[in-house]
Amino acid sequence: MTRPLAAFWPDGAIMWAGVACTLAIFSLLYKENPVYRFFEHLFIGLATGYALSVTWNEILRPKWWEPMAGSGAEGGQWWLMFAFLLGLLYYTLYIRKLAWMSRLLIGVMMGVGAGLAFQGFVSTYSPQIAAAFTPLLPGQGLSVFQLFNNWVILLTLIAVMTYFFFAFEQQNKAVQKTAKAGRWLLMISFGAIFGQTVMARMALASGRLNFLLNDTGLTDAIRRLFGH
Amino acid sequence: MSFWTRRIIYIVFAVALSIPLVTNWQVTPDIGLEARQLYAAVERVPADKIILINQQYEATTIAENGPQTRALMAHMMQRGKRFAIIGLDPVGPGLGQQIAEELAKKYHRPYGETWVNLGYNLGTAAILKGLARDIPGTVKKDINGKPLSLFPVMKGVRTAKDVGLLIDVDSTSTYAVWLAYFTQPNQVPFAVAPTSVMVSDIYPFMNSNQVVGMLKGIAGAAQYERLADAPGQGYKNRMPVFMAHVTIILLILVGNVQEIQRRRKVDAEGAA
Repeated sequence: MTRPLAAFWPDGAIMWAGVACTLAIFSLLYKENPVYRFFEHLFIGLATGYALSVTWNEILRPKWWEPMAGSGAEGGQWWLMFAFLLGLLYYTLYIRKLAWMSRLLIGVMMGVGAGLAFQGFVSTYSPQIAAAFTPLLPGQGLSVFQLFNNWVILLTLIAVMTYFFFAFEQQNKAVQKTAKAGRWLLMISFGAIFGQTVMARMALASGRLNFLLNDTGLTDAIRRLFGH
Repeated sequence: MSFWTRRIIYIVFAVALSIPLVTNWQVTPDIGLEARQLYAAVERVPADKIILINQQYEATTIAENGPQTRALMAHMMQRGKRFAIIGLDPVGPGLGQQIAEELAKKYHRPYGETWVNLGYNLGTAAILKGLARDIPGTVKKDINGKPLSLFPVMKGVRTAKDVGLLIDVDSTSTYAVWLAYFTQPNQVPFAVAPTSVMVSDIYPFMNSNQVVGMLKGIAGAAQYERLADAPGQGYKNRMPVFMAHVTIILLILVGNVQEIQRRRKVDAEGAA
């Protein structure tokens, strides 16, 4: 969306604030400076304040405070007060004599977390174990490329798992070579991940530059200046 | 590396990225299999089911996740698909709301009729397990504090069985939580629109059919824009990324040539 350079209020003010913030953060690329530090702290403060405000307005007030303290049809659920009291137990960590009370809550949360993690692991990874068993022989309606892919998956899986097999020293030559192949395959995947990381970072830089050049109308102004 | 070397590299990158933006250089993207599969998954969602779009990003990755969201919502609004914005992050649902409001004017889709915003929901596994059992009972109100029962778009939407597709627009790897506690246990089709950094993490899940489609960063956004015939920021920001890749390859070559020359010089000095 291209906005005219002349526009100033209210969209314009927001836009120019964005320009100032972007340039201030980019100034770090030259060197560390107080302007960058100021805007960095401003951003942290804003983000924290915004998150607190949203947490209160969208979570705590409608789902806890209003049902507990409100007077409407949904109000009067006074027992929700215990959620607050139980939450306060976390802070007994700071009082040596009462610190054991915080461990009650932490223990419960650890139990819940462990149970959920187990369920999560099963539903996340069991289909992948099943998917690793792919047909490797022709004649099952598979194209040559699909068969090739299936072999690549199997051989990569074996090689990489062998590389991470640390239960005993890898003395057998076949095991050593398979582990080495696994290491090379891992290096290739790291290269792909690096390429994608560059792509992500550059896309973000491109977004900011697009904002500075096009959303502010700077490009249009330059074009007009040169009669285009 | 001298004080100026790094700064000169930054300037080279700024110029390389700016050229396509200033000249408005755009090339029609080839559509990848992953984007095509996601498009087909959206098309397959029947009228009696809703699509959930999890907005799991902040302003820092809006250059990638913003165009992805815009392209997906444009497609859904064109087709009149019902969708609900949701987030396990305080900022994401607000950013999604801005994009949806802008598109709603273009496609004449008033709030509450074909789309709604369920806002920020605190907690991960617990809230997702709650959503799977009872969506209106877990969320209760929209982002503006109005009861969900007021909105026609939520009619008949009660449990995970009424969700035809979940799309996670993500910069924080929250896809794993949705997969573990919502989509996989309830057999809800699942797609991901991650930032480019996360793409390689998603492929194993596509191989096992746990993920039915994917938008790979800004390139995926551009591909989906083409599929939905809604060109936007994806088209615009793709070419600067291409220029950045070309610049990086050139810089790697220059760096290697310099290093080879330096070694030769050292060897020659040693021999002398």
